[in-house]
Amino acid sequence: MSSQRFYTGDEQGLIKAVTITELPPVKVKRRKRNAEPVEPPAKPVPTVETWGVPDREKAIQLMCWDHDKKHLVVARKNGVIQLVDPKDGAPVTEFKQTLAKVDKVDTIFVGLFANSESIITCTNTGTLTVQSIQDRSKSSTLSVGKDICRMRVHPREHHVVATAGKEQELTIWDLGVLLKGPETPKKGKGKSKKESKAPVEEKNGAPYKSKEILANGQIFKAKNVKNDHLDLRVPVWNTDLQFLNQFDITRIAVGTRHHQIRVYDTKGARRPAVDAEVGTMPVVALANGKDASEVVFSDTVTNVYSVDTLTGAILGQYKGFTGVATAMATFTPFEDSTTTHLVTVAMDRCLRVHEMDKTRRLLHKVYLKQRMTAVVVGEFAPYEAPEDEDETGLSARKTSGGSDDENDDDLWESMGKLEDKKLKKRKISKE
Amino acid sequence: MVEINTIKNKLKREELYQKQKSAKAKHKRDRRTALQKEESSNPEKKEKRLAENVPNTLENTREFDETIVEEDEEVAADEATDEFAEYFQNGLAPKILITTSKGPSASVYEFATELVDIFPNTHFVKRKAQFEMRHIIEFSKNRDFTDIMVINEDRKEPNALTLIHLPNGPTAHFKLSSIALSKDIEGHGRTSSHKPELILNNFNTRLGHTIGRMFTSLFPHVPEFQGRQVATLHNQRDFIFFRRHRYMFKNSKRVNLQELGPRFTLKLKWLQKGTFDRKGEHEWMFKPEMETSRRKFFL
Repeated sequence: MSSQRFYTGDEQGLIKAVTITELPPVKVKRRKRNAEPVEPPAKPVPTVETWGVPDREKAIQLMCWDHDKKHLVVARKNGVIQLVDPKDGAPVTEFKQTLAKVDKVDTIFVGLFANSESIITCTNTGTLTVQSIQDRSKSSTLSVGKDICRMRVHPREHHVVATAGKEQELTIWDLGVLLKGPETPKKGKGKSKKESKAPVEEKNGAPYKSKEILANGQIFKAKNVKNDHLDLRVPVWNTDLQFLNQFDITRIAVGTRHHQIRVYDTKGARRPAVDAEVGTMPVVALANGKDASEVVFSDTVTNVYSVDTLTGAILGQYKGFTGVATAMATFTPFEDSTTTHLVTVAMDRCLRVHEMDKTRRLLHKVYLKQRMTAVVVGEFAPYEAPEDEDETGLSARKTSGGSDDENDDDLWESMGKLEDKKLKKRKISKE
Repeated sequence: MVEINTIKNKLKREELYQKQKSAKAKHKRDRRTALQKEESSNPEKKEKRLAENVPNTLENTREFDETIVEEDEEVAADEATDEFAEYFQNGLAPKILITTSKGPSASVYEFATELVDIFPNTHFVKRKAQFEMRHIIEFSKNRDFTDIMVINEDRKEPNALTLIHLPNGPTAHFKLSSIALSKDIEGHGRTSSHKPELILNNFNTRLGHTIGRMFTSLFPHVPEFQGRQVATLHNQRDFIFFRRHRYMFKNSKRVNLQELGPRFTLKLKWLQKGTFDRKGEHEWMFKPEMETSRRKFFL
């Protein structure tokens, strides 16, 4: 039995670890090909572990992994950011930020990211905080403008931060430049090469022709789309954004409250490369698709759609939602397979896993009793087949290298293995 | 036994058919009288038969729903601090504002009058076209209202009811149908101004709990029992039936019911987190595609 783990956060401040166990689909397929009468595998029973005491003041707003998936990082309503052990839910460290009400509006976290050294958070008032994990006193605060709706950090280039919000165009910041002065931020060990890349790109001359000078630390600032057919300004209200590519920072998808999906190419123009109207209701959350050509978004009337980032066309809908999907994540369930799955948590108190192929099939649905706000994809425990050692070895190796921060060697190695496998298959077919 | 439909003579065929039919009826009658006789001497047998013979209905063959709430600490903790905690925990008395959609017609006013009669401490406010819902919500919050009811109409008939709990939501939108005003109910009683008792039936799922709590928080905590008025919200197959009765003690054993009216039926269309906002996030929303079976219910 292979099992996939998810961690969810909810309005009551509980963290739930959901383990979904199932038979590997690869095995089932093989049996089908042999045309043996196979009973449908028994529906796996998900196990749910609940950590924490219900308290609305500690409502979880955002969750993510830290550098090498050692700890879960949890941002709560009361301003506490916790590092939580994913095995038993015990809080390891805590950092406190004061979230004061501004104009009767609660200050909430809109972005959370952690690497080996620091936790980067952002609030809707535009306070970007870089908090060192080792050194409590070492933290720096920056202002990135008010009414920010989402802050995301590039999964590989940890110094590249994108923000967007209400009347806040998509802006990409270089933390390295922003934080320059009293302290020089140093991100991940093997990152120095890449780190130098982006500033160089910036120095090589802004790729766009506008004469507007970027503020200190800004790499890119988007420009509003052209006026509409009545020559009226189009209002800006970006609700969520995603870096489309793991390897470069240039393509970013943005969802808006005015039901548009926009794709910016920072190498090209400041205006979006793709600007598509999708549906009639505001975009709530945005997730990457199985590759850079697809994004998944949810709207306020409980729809979840898949959108082509090249054309802006809706590719299909994920069915089965009765409440708004508040957080989504894409993952590869079986490291050696090509399928991707979409995990969502929704206001209808359910966690759902969909397959991201043409069928967009609902694979699992787990009732979690709370209105969920955050989801994080956890460990994948592979199926241990005693007779097929090769495969388990392969998948195990890949699991270990599955983290965001795997080094290049690992990546190349795994790609090599895939080729081997194809060759094998071909050989078999020839025989 | 002759195959009746093979007989070619119509008279003969009819005669035989009638004979067969009456024999069948007699057999049934005999069986039932025998059973009755047996059971009158042995009432336990009757009880046993009735207990065993439960016909299948859509309700008792309901599809399994994991969200049905039974003794659950987590849900209890959730409900202890939810949006209705002010009513349930702190004993805040309800104060309700009833209004209509813009430009209402006479039937809506009539229905609104009935609603005002049902819920104690209710204020009807005529809807003015210059105020949007967000303004009304703001005004009501400032005036310490706990709930807003908005009656919507279509073709001069009330067709939807929106319930907004203040100050932090949620908002529920119901389809409104089968309205019978008090005056249309034959033999209806006259209402008194006593605070009514409340009966809520079958709000079992997690969503149903929320809806049930929402309705509960519309009524005062302690009813005035001398009024002997009961308001019932009965959920059956996701339709919520509203009825209002007065009970009258005929003697020490028997009770009579007198209907007071009105009658109407509600069906939940969506539940929104927070106060009404057209672009707000929906906690639950009905979609036709969710109706995968006649035996699946959400409340």
